[in-house]
Amino acid sequence: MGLSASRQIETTAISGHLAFPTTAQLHHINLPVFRQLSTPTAVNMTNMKLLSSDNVEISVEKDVAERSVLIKNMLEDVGETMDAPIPIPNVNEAVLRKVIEWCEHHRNDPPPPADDDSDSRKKSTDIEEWDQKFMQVDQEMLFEIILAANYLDIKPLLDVGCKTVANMIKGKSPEEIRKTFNIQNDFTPEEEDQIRRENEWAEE
Amino acid sequence: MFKPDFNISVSGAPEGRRHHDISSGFEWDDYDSEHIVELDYYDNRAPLLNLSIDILAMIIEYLSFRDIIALSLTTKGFRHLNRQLPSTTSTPPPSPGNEALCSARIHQRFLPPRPRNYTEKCPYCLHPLCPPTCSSALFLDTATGIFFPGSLYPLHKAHFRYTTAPSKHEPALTVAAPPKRGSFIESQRNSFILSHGAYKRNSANLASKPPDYMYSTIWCDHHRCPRDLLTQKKSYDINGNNGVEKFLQEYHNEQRWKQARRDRGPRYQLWARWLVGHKSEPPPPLPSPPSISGSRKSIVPWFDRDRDSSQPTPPPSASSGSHRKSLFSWLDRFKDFDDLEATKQPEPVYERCFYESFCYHCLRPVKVPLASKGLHSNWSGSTCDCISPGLPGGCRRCGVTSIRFTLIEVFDKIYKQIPEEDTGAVKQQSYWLFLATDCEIAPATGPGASIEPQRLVPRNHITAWQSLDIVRGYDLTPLLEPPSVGLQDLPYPVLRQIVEYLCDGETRDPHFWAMQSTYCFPKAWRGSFGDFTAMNVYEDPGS
Repeated sequence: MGLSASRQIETTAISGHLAFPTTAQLHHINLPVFRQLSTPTAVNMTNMKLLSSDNVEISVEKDVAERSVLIKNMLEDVGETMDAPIPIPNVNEAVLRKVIEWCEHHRNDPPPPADDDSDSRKKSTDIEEWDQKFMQVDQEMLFEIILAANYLDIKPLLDVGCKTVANMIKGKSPEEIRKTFNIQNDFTPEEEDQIRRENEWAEE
Repeated sequence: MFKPDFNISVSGAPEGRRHHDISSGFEWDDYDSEHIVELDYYDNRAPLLNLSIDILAMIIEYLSFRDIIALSLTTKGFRHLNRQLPSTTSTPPPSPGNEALCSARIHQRFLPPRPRNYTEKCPYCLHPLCPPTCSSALFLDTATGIFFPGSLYPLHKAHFRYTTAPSKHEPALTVAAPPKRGSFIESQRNSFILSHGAYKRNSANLASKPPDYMYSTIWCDHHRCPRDLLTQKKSYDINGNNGVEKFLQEYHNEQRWKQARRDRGPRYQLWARWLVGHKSEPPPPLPSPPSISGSRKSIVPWFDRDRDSSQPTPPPSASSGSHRKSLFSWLDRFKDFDDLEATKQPEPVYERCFYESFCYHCLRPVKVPLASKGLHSNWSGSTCDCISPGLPGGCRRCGVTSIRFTLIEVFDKIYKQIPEEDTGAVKQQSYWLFLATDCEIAPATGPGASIEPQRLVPRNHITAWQSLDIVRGYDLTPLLEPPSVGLQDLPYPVLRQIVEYLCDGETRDPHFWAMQSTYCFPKAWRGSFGDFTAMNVYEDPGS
């Protein structure tokens, strides 16, 4: 049983260098693994293994792993017969463990509502207390978690990550944002003057 | 998944991404390889720049209009996040709801004019001033006697009152009359005009006379007038025009300064002040140069005891009889200098504060519809005129923020012997100014969180603390962490019952001191919007 040709993983919704891999890409990257998967064997129905980018196998319960839409779709594609580890080529062990920790805590959460881009979507940056503590990591880890959530298609985790970054930006001046995120000011004085001139018409 | 409200163009893609594009076959003629290597170095240290544009768009969905503009001004790579708006005078008439106007004003505040050859000096101590763009600058507003940080002060149109440079706006070479802001009646009239849509294309006819923002000095990390500035000389000529006299004239004569200190808004408990910490142990005396304005020797002998232990101890404070003019000075009588020195106890610091909602568009207080009469915040001379549908006030796009105004004793007290008293009684004169701090509502943590689930906290704790230190003029040791469960966790009806028991005694002292100990008691006693009788106490003994 291989990946269904009709079950293409969406790539249109998310673009960029960490978009979901297409079926062809998955075959290209992990061809031997998926050949193994195609052979039904006796498996533990509740546990499965994930293989991080640094080749560390991590055991995780299936319903926890299925918080990731990417993994859930893969499992649906290949059926219930997985005993080989699922490769997660863009996520290293440390980040993967953090993501699994989040998934375990939220394993019983109701499924997120269908993606709604309408204006009715409430853009509150409130984050529940456990998630706030979970996100108290250094910036490198924070952005790795966001990228991993994006790659694994864990929308609620991605939302929490984006809210955390948004909260780090809110209310700050450009200079404070630069300090927070270690951004170099690459505006030349002439360019800043140009922006000033563009906005000086607004006399009060 | 991603439908942002604004257009994200690819022309301004982040520099780091250009590097990726190069590796994938695109060519950029205007960037040489050396420049790319340099930018790549910074990208590695700024992971925010490496987020894909769709993730960035998700983050931006949680940001306000103002925050997006701030982000767009951090680096050229984010400039495209700013919605392209017409930037000419052909735009619709400037009104508070006009997006282009909001955008322009926010840009002006984030990019204040670049001062050239700024050589101004502090009018009070003659120390050279930092330019207004100094990151820690606090502007003493001439009209109100409030120190505002740059983020809350319209730098693009503010003028230095005592400038020595010729200005096309204000030849303020001498001590000039303070500028008058639009009156409350004027603001009401303009609100009426706006609400009836009767504005004209020429905004000059619409708005009240634009308020002239003028500041008297700048305090920052690099300059703060010495705390003993007022005690360096024996007496001052109140009509003089130099140094300290300028401050005293402003302090005593500017009506707004007094109003700001007295008329504190509806949420203010007029007579409450809180213990905020203790003065830190002063560092060992350094052979510091005398201040510019002359010898540092104080006219009050016991002020020099730090330098000269042979100086006499201060005399006991005098009773001023039944007429209690100042609660602060009255409370200060409980400070015994001898006791403090003998036991080396750190001196407690009490401060009071009040809060106002501020409109980010016009930087004026938002009118509170249900404010208690007589306590309405009219201290600034004008209130927000912005009209946003569905909001009681303030500009919807620029936003409304909460400002904490902290009243801080900025100079050492002046002690004067009262001539008519033979007992050696002295009168102490304190000088208090406000500091504005930008705050936000945040979920409460720690004690009392179950009763008060939300708190007003500074948006930037570090900057807020630094600004407080600058205005205080000394380091403050904060209070110890409160216990995990305390008085604040009691429900307000229970607290009210406790206060009622305190009132039953023979004297009002226990009740009075309870009211000073924590905000919980006055709030339980009177509620948030209680109409207080001001108890006829003022903080200015000399006024």
